[in-house]
Amino acid sequence: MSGSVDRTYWRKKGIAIEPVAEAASVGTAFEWLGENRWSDSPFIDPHLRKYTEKELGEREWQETVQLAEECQPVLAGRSLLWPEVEALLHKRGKKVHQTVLARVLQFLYLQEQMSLKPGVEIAGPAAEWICHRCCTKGAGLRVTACAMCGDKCAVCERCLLLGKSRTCIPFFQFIHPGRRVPENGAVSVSLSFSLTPTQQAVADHIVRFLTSDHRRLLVWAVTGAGKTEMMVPAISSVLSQGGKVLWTTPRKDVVHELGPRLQKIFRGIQVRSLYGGSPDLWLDGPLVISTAHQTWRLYQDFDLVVVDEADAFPLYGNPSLEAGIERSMKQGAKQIFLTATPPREWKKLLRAGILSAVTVPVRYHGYPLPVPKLLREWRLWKKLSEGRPIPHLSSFLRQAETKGGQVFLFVPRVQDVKKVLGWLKEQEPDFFSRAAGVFGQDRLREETIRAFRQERIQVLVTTTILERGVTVPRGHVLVIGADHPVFDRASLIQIAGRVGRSGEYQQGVAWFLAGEKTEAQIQAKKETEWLNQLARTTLWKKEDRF
Amino acid sequence: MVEPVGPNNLMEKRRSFLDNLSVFWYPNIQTCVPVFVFLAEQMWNNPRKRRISQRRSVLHIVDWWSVLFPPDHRCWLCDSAPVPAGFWVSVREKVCAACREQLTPIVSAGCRVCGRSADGNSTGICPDCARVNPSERICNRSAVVYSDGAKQIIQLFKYRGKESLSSPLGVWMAEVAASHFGKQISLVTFVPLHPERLSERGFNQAELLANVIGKRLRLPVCSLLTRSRATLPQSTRTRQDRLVAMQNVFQLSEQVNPKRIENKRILIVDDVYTTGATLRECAKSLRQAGASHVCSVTFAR
Repeated sequence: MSGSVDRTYWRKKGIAIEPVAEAASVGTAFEWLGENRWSDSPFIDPHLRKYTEKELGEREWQETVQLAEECQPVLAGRSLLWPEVEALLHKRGKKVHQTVLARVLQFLYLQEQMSLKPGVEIAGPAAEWICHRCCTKGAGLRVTACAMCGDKCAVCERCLLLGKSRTCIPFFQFIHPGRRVPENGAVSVSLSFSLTPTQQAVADHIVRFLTSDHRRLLVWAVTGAGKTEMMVPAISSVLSQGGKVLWTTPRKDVVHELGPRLQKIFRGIQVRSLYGGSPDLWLDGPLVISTAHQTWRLYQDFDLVVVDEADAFPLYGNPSLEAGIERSMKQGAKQIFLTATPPREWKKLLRAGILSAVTVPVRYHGYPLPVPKLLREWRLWKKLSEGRPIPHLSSFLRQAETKGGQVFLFVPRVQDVKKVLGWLKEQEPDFFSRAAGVFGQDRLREETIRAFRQERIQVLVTTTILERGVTVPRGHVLVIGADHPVFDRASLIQIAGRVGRSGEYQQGVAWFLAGEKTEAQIQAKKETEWLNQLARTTLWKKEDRF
Repeated sequence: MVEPVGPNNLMEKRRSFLDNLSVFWYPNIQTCVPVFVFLAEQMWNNPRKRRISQRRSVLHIVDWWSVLFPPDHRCWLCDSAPVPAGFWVSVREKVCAACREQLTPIVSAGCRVCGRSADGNSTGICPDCARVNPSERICNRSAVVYSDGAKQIIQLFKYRGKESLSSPLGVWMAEVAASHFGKQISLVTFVPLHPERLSERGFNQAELLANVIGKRLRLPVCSLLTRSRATLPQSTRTRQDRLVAMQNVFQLSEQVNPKRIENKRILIVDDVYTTGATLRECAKSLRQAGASHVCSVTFAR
């Protein structure tokens, strides 16, 4: 990157070096290295232009060294592309010119404080090309003409939204120089309420896990069990030892919600929430909440990683995001998965004893989970689009109204939101006036959800985007078209889990309305019943409340 | 995340499907021939695989399962929901319902010059075009209205650099160009970027679109123009500033033989038409060089 720093550094060590070739980009250089051009005889590139980079003067060298020492703690523990390094330094108030930055990075490289790779490495067959930033292999990498390096090079389309990763853009992984000094001896934790005995038992179990030799723990806690609160003792114990904690989740909404909540609990500590376009981006702190995609920018920096909603899209079954989370952990760091609906593979591992786990089958208030009721409606979608009466739907709305609750109507596809709203207008005009629809790309999404939380809206027609995270105390749930493949077992359990979140209001119901019973519906019902049974037998539930 | 995650569900399904199949179909040479023809066709039709195969050996790359049982085609713009596939299906059909709702295709042009969408019963020429000198007017057609949804897509394509979007957008524009200009066109060109901007962005979005359009309409694509000075992005200016700033920015490229464009009908490609100042300037220099007829196509208007 900077020949002059290279020369100066090695001269100080008493070694003279000569350039053999000059590559247009880091990608080309790595391709040459892969070909082993210089293995036997020193081959000097005939096209090498007159090499202009001279040794640095003593003053310039001192400046470079000093700047590198300033930048190193800022950069440590991150994996960044060149433009991201610039953005990070800019955010921290260091304006560094390109050539100076090249010198600094070259110096850090020579000091072995970082590793250097091209953003996308194209060596060998195309199936083995890899984007180092997001760890994607093969498909998703496209070769295009690039005006930046003036040649054809590969670009990764998977991690495009975090900034382009190309063959001609260098990618750095800054190594952390060692253990942080314990700066925060005691962490002040202020929980507004005390943990229930169940939660306390689980929390103790998690704290014990931190000192055991297991690496991973699965916390299988039903919806509304108070997962966040149960994690607090473990997090504070890691923080008080001077460690760093990463709380990561595939959903941006969860980061939004969790940031202020955790900040309220950990008063004396800076909680950073990272997501696309967050103000905390590029800042550092002992407790970081991030979306799964943002973990691609971290490197071996955390002692404890909590993966919230570990089975949710897009994290589960996505090897590149999993690799990103793995990369953000220090060696020997612990990983905790939180989920209400572990996938079948995890359950198998659990049964086989490969994965250690703790199960929490009871909610924080001790009431049982609502068991979904399966209903059938003949020609449901036809009736909906034609505006013909659907007795189940009407009676559901009526009963919710008499019990004074709010209603979620879940539909499988975006276009169905409109259909259901149209049906309401036709058949239940008094509900239509208090209804609203919401879906993923909706511009008014946040606003509608806020209105629903403030009870200005009574009926919310939604796609599966609200299956996790959004809770109202007096919710009733109806899944319209529960036989659609988007509603799998996990999704249906999560949806039914929207009901009965508050200890004061337990009249909420969860109904699945479908043309036919599917395996997913039956399994969801079965699992809920099983968890209730488990809660009853383990006597974690309060006797009088069952 | 957890080490042995077990086989992918989808994979499992496919495998069991093949097991069932092998009861009826035992691969011998006669039955293999159509399969190989099918495979070759599949590889040739899949642009990604074709591009890779030009560069490296084919055998390493192709995931044979997905060639035998190709996955559903996904929405061209957002890659989410499955959509109908096939060469003959219009792009509008290959876009999922959510994207379609955000984009408003221009079905009938309200202004016969700039091709803005018809609002109400106005026909003829819109007031903006009426202000322009008739000799400078350029006949433009666009695929969609420049709404927020279109803005997002352009943003993703141009500034985020999702270059693969050039194929759906380009094919869509090719459909529009073919339906409006038909066989009038003999040459396709694009609005150039200043070299500085080009090296900063890494690609010229109009060039990518023009390449797709040229391939689809089977017309030659030439880089005819150069930009003599770097201008600030048009999106940062007001209407009046834009009109002034663009004067004499484009010249005919020195490498182009002027005879090549004499009496030719040329189609200029750009991503967005707002005031039309850019396209009119391009048309001006092309007309000066002797082009008989100049028209333009953009994605959004």
